[in-house]
Amino acid sequence: METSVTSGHAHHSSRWQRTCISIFVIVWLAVFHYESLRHRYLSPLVGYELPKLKFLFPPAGWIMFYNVDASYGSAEVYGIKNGQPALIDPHRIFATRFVWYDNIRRNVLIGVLSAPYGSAFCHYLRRKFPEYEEFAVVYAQRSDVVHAPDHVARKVIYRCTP
Amino acid sequence: MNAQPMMRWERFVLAERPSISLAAFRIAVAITVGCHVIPTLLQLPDNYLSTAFREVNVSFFPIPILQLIHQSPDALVHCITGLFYLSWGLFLIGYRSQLACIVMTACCYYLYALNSLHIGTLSWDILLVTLFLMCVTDYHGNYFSLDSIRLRPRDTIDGGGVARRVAPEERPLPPASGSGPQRALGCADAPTSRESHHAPNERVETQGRAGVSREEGGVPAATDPAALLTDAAEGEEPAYRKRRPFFIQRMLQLQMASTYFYTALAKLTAGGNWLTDNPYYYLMHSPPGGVVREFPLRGWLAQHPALCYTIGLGVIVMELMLPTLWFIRRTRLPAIAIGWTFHLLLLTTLHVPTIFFFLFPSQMLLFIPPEDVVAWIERRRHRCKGQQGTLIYDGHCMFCVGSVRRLLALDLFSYLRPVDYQTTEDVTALHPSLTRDQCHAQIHLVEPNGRLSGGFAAIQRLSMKLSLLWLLAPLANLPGARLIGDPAYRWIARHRYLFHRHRACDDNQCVPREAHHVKREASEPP
Repeated sequence: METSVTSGHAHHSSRWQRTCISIFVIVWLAVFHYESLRHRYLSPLVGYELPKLKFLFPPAGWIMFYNVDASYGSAEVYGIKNGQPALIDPHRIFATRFVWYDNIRRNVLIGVLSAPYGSAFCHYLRRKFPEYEEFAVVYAQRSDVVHAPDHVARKVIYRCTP
Repeated sequence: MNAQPMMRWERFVLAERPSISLAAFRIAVAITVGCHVIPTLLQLPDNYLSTAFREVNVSFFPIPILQLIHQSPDALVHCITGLFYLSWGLFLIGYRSQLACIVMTACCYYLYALNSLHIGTLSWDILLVTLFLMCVTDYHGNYFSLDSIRLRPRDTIDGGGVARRVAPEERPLPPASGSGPQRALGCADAPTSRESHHAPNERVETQGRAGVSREEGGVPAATDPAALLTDAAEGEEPAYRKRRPFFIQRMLQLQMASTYFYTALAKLTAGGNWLTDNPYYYLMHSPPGGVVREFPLRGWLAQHPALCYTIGLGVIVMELMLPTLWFIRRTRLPAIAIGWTFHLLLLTTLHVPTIFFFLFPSQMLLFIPPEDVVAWIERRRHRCKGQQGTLIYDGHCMFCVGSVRRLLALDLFSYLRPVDYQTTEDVTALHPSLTRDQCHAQIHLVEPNGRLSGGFAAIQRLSMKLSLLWLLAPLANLPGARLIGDPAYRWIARHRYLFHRHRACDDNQCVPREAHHVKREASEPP
């Protein structure tokens, strides 16, 4: 363990301050490890979903790619004009560009497939793309990216009609 | 038996250690937050205003809070955006850094509640945990910050025994080494305002004569920058050595180590398939437009499933071992190097959020003991002793003294050797072409190679010589910068005696005779 070797005057904390720091550190570590273990380990152990601390910590631990298989799903949005569908570039739908990475390629569009968001997303699409008469929001499913990378099953999740 | 755990706890968490690493980490956090949030603010109508498409994170926020936030009028969103920019900028430069951190974090929470679509990644949740810890103390403002050069008032007792506040800039710089009792005149040298009513000009002259000191060989003695920084009379440490309870840095270390450990654990257990399947192989086959970048070896790796599996195992072994290796002194630096390489590879092969690059590698550096950082700085300072530039300033001007103090606080590697020309008999010994009138008119920098620059040109040179001013260098050295810089500098230099902040100087009593008369005449009614 390192020891303090720096010379000079220190900012000496009081006993009260040290007690507060100690309590804070212990509580923090307890909560931190509880949230790290809650979803994957503690909840299965007790048989029900333990409460999550609001306002802090990710919902299910510290990793996204813990389970990756050969399937891949994504969302596609088609603008329809005169009955002809045209795939809309997702970078036009969400134009936000981040520093050094592409959120669209992180599949951020997949969230719009949730039915509760349908109405709001249709409203958004009509504002962004007034040139289209209606829109179709489609789920594109690749069942095996290794052996059948070009086989894509598409399903319309909802339509945005005038 | 009970004392030992307490002592370990003391050393592990409570020990007061230099906070300079945490200060550097503050900048990394600010850059990360900026890279993550600012792009979303550039598309306000799409992301946050009433015209936006919004998603909510109900596992993170209570629903009543979300309902409340979503009633925000656009004007409030604009206000919060402005507040974010302000607090983020202040946090970055370290001005009232704890308050800035708290306000910036609050703005981040507001924006996150308003729309989690873009910023609400897993990495963002991790960043918020880090921000929470940064909000707890102001230790991260102890260096690399305006807070560290801000002249903080301290309590003192005036002649009448009444407590009042005096800023350090009001105190004169310590005397030149071996120069006896002389001190540069400053407002603090006029302990009571009554004395200063008649004394200052006489004291200027007296000190102008008595304040001459020469080292052997006829070179004027310089004020020792180390003495300035140490400010022994005030019992102060240099800002880069300030010690604070270590617990925040320790918790950031533990957060980093735990994140790695739990990541590996999730890959191995509880639904993770990195042992039973070949996730890395599948990632190499992810469709165009997916999360994997088109890096050169991708196609080749996609043809070698066994190699992909081995890489996956190697990643898990590394993630399990690094948390331990970071805490062991001998393995710390190699483990940090491995961690950096890993994150660099992640960034070049996957579309991972910027947090993976700006925050985590910086957080790994927090495992380096801050004492080692301080020792490295001091070795550099020692090596620079023979290659210092001489900064010639007016020690009678407390504004100048304050500015020199700030520069010395920024002078991490001890490049500057400040010399008060008022206490130097022969200024030509500093540079053959210098005169006292020139020294009175503006500051001068004499570089080790003899190059002399004065006024704004000296500031331009300083911006390139002091590493903590490098960010200003492109601005200060823009073509044509002197068209604005020179007149601005001359105006400030002419009025520098009016920048005193000491109470005794309210009526400009501290200025030299000529300037005093000028001001009095100017202020008298015709």
